[in-house]
Amino acid sequence: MSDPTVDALPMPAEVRDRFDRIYKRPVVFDVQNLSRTFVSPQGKPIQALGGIDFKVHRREFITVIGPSGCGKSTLIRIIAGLESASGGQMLLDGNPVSGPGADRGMVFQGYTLFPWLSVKRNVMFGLESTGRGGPKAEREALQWIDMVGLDGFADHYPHQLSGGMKQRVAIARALANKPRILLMDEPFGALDAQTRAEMQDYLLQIWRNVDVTVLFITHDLDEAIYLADRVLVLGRNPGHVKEIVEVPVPRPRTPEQMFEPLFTQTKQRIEHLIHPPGEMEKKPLPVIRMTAVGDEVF
Amino acid sequence: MREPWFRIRTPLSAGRRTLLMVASFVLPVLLWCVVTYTPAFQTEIRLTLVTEKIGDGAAFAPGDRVAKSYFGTLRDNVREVNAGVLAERAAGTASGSSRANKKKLRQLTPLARTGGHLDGIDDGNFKAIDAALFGLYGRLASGELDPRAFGLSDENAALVRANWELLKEAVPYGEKDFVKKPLQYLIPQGKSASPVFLPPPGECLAAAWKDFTTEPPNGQPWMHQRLLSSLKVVFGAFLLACLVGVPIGLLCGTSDFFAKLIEPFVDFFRYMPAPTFGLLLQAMFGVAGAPKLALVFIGTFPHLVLMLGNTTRGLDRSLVEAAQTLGAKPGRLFKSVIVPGVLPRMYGDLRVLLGWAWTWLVIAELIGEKTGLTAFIDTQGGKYNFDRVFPVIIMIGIIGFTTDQLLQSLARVLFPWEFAGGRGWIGRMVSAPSRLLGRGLAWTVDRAGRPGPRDRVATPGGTDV
Repeated sequence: MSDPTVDALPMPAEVRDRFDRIYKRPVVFDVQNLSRTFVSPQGKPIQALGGIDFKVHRREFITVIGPSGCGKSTLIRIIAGLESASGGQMLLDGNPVSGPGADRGMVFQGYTLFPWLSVKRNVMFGLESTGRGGPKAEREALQWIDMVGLDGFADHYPHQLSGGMKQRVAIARALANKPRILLMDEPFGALDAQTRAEMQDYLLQIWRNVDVTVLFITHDLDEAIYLADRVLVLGRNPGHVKEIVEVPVPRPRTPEQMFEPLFTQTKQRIEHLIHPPGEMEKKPLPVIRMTAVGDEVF
Repeated sequence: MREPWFRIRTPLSAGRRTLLMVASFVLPVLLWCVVTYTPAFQTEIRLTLVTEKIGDGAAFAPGDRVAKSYFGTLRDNVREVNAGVLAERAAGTASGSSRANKKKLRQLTPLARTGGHLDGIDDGNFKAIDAALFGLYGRLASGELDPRAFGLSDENAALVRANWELLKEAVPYGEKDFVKKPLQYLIPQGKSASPVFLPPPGECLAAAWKDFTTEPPNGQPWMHQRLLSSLKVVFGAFLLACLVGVPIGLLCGTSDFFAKLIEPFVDFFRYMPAPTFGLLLQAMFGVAGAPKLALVFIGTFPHLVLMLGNTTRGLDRSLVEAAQTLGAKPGRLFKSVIVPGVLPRMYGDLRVLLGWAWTWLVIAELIGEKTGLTAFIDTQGGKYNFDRVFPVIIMIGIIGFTTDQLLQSLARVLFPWEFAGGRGWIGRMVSAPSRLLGRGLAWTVDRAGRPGPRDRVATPGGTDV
């Protein structure tokens, strides 16, 4: 926190107001001193996460970013209950949680739609799993399909959809359960750049229309800033919260904002947090002479 | 520029693929024809006319095979004996008997039988046969019956005429003493034939036609009854193995508890060859159908459990995790995610195992009372009637192959998401009528101004954006 660049981010008054409003909202999800230790195949304990602490307020959009190997995925999988923590605890609406549950919906990086079910049945899956099946569930599912802009595709099967459409169904499927928090593990990572940009806008639209809190993991800095209220920057060895950066870019967000100084400054600052200057000092690669022409071409 | 035929990991055009697939079946059949119908490969003579045992030579029956090189010697030996007979007759020292002469007369029996001249006369009724043969002899000698059409070589036709000079003294047959002066032997005749283990396709087809369409002797089952009995064993045992093995395999793949408890022993068990349990099963279940089912079961069950366990473990973990984050409890995970998720691969596993069941069938049907197709193969194979064995073996192949292809094309209907690519050739043939029907429907519906009934694959860029 002593980094001189911390205070360098200018914060427009409207954005400051928004953050104040957010912080007054109840805390939906509270991660306290969460840690995770693996045992390596050689029997050596390896700490993947250590002392993770953060709070997520209702309807907040938090993105998690960090260098590769910082434990982003482990963190979200622990939150989802797919892996267990070695220490610390997680509170959802003040109650400790462990193990997977419908209260924490998840959208994965890979396509995890059930290929044998139609889009509608996929979206209904969570409702049926939690004992809310039936005709009401079907109506609800159709509403969610409309919500992600896929009306008319309810009876299609996943293999008939494009990658972007599949992920939209996955979002609808997770939201249909009305989770307290929506976990997204690099959900657009497998998409091409253009579809990805569209999906980001879709997601922001959906998030605006639905009462849901989002925790979104990404390795793409633009995406992290573009979507988030706050960006949680993880450091590695072991994975820890380096800083939680408040994004000063006003909402509603548009792609043009990515070229504004506010955006680029934020980006630069987070970039410095992820890769502190000096850490990346490049060792010159050895030059191997391949041709008789040799060095003089340079 | 013409596309080259040989390229590494590059698919050929549809036309070429079809051509090659047809060739893949036509070439072996062609090779079979070439090897069996080309005289150069026909190394044996199948005898159609034989002598009784002469001197220290071997005795042959009609239908026996001798090597081509030996056939000449065999004939020369008979000619030598004939020369001796003539010499003795000239010298007046010839001694013979009517019995011996009648035996020589009977050399004509096989040709007379195939010519239909002995129809209605039992094999054991020698009196009637001899009378009929005597009549035939006369007609052949006089030329009333064409010796060539009858199947005699010119040499033997001459011998028939020469013998008739002596035999005609006994006309009318039965009223006088039969000729005692020794007759000459007819010279052995035969047809060029491929080795016994390689009957030509024509003979196999003829044998198959006969075996499938005529009532078998001694109350033995018809071929279709044999087939039915074999199918019962294969599919019965296979279904039984599925009934027990599928749940166990699924459990092993789903939970480490069952995997570690069950798989090690099953893995060990499968290395004990199923046929070695044959007699044990017979002692347990008797000699009827039960031990046969049990053997095919033992042969397929362990593999089924292990394959299915692996297949189930191979199910994309993220599907299970997604369901968990949607609130699915273990029971629903198993029923609504693992089972349907594994189904397409399981279907493929079961297809492979069905093929194995056919393999075990052959051994199973030899346990206790021999039954089904194998009994036929075993009996006829023992008699070296390979022209009758081949069709049955090929039939098993065809049944296995078409079943597999049909199941494969059915899989495309059942699990369309598993098959983004094209169909197999049988699949195309099978689906052709339904596709045509579908197109017809689509056309009528289009004309009626409504959307087609078939799903259109959504593309990004259309409604997606």
